[in-house]
Amino acid sequence: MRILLVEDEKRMADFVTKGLKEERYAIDVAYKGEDAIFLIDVNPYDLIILDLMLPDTSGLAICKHIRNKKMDTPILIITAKDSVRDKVKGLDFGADDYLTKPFSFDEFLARVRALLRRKRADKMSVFRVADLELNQLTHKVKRADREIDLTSKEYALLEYLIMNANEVVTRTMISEHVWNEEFDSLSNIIDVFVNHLRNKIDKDSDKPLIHTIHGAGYILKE
Amino acid sequence: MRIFKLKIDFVYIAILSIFLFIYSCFIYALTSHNIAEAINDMVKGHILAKLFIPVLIAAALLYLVWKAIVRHIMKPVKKIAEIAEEITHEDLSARVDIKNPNKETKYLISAFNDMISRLESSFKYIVESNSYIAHELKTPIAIIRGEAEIALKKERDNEEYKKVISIALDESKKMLKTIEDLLLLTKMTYRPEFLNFENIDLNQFLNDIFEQSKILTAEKNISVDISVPEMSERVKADELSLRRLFFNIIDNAIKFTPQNGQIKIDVKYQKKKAIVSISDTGMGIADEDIPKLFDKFFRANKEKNRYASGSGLGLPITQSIAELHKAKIIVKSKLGKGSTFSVVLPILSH
Repeated sequence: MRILLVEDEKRMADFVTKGLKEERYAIDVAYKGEDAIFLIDVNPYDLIILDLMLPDTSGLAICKHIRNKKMDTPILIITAKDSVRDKVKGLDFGADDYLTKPFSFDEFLARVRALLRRKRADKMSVFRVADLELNQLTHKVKRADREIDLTSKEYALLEYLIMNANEVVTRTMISEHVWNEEFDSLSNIIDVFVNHLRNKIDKDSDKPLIHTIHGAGYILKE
Repeated sequence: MRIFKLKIDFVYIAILSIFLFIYSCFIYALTSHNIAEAINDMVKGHILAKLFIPVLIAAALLYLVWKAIVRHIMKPVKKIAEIAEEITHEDLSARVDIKNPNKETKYLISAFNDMISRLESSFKYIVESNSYIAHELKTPIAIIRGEAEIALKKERDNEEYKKVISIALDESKKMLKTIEDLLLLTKMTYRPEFLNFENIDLNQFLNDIFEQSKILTAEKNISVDISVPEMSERVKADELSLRRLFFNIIDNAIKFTPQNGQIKIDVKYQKKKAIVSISDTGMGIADEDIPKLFDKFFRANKEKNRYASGSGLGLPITQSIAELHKAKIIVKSKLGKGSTFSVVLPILSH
């Protein structure tokens, strides 16, 4: 899951990024409104976390920009402004949720998860395909009731595949949702990670779940 | 209650009747040819029988007219009372508006309205300060809390813990600075008598400041120069505050001047004033931002003030000190070229 964090206070951005990275999300940070708008225009984010007070523009202007472009990316506002008027304004400008600083990081993560599953019909935190199981809360992955140890990137990749189970996902889609701005599009890093994942998930099983679609990408299905 | 009021009306009418009656008797006696006969008439009660009904009617009429006049005079007062009832700490926008008031009422209304306006601006100030303080303190708390919560999520190495602790320490210092600056600002506004005014030799004072700035600018390799006239002048000032004023300006100059830049302190004496200009070769300030520099709420309300140092209260404090010394601060700046802060201080006559 790829998240854009728009926050000008460096230290604030640092710990939010660190906390989200540990939850295996791919994060980009914009310290200015101008950078945020550029990143939003080029990358398909799964969630945008927005501070309201930025040095060049207001967070509300960014909200408006996103909604004017008919993008339905969930927006979570995090701000020190806590009056009812500010909250109403933020939500009316197209934000999906509003959290005031200082916040509990666990609550913040729960809201992030809630916003990320908003578009899905089931709204569950546990995904199952055949005997493969992925739990978003505990980050535990099991195949035939046996726990599998994954690295952060492998987990993020599997999460993306399983959320789009039975659908073909292209390498571009994977790069855009699992990696952040630092991704090098010329490398074969995606194929390398898919192979790692296959080794851990499909190796001991006679029914492989990750399939390559030549010329298109990958699909996770029974 | 109603009956009681009616009773009061009758009492008034009765008192009025008695006065009217006495008055009538008096006139009757004065105008009659034979005073002895007139007194006799009065004693016998003839006159009372004759005058009882007219006097009573006259008294009642007089009373009604008087009541109407009082009601007319009291109308604006009633209106003011109604408005006063409407006013709460949440809504101080109400004002008394009466068409064509007489002179006295006009005076009362404008005094009342002015009082509400003063209250309204004080409340606005309190609300704005509160949200400013809340905002300035919430960000460091958010950082300390977030860092601590994440640190405790799992086992980490010592270096990571050290980093979290040093961030917490640093952010708590920032909070303390914000609180201290706010208290100082409040003290200067409401209790300026804590200042201790003395006669200060300006050349010597500014040379001291110059010597100390050299230490501050060394880190960024910024050069500092001073030019002072030969003959010194004296000013009446609180030395500590005046030092704070100049150092706040110099700190800002250092902050926004790149490595190897220049800062100049230029002193000129005119007839009644001293002009101390501090120029830098820094990033400069946009024209539209100059008037907002000294605004305490600039950073919190609109966008963050890049020119404000530390708590963001440095320049508002500088401005308050200047006001208490009857001094003015003039800012001239060109983006990318640098800024000049000129402090104009009244000097003591010889």
